[in-house]
Amino acid sequence: MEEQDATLAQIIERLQRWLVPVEPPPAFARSLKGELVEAAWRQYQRTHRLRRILLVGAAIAGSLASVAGLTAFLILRRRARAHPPVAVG
Amino acid sequence: MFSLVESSPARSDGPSSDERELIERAKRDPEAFGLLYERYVAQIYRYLYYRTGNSQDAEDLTARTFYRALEHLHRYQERGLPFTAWLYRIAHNIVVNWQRDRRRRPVVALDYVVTRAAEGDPQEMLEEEEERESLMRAFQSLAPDRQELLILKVVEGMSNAQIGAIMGRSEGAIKSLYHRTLLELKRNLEGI
Repeated sequence: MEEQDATLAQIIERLQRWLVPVEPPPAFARSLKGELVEAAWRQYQRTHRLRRILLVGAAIAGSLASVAGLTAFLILRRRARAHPPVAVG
Repeated sequence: MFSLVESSPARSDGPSSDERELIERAKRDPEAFGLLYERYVAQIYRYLYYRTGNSQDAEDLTARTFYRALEHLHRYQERGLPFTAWLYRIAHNIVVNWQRDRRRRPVVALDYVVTRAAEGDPQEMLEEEEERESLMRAFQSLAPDRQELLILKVVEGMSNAQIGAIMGRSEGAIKSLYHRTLLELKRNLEGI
């Protein structure tokens, strides 16, 4: 058991020796950041535009529905006036 | 018997309030996304460097990881796990697909050899290089989750609790997996 522990301790030591914390090359990290921030701007603008289109679309649809409702109301009222209900009896 | 559980910092499951705020800001502010990237790029690069075995592929996959993170950040929801858990998951999926698509095993990294080649006695360097190469071969023949565990443990110096939070397992499961991983690594080294 102790022998196995010693071997595992040696393996841990080797791992610590060779699996060292490497760093990304600074030029790569910098350039990727620039590309990502630019892509983020594009993505956010796209999302913003899409939201605006949806908002305007919803506003137009709402307005059209209101106009249609009002028109229907006026037509129905006119019809009702043209043909008043006849009293039975 | 030596302990496989080191004295670890208190378990921090979710992101800190500062980090949470940065994540929320990054969902609508590109500059904040840049800050988030700066905070984690080294960790993700290291992870991918040891999973792929070379810096060129590590750079490529790091870029893909952050582009995917950018694409899906609006859907990110904190579920009590560190933000790195989400990033590591993206990086893991990307590296698994990359290995499957190219049907290749990771190669032993050469970058470090180049760094050390200028130092010391050539015979000693050769022996060191052989030792490193056999270790890297043994490491790269481990299952992906075991490689991930060793990277988080040895390279990032994380506690079992922190690794558990990232890998979605209990602290006890990580401790046990770590022990089995070391035993497998020992067998792999004996077989090389």
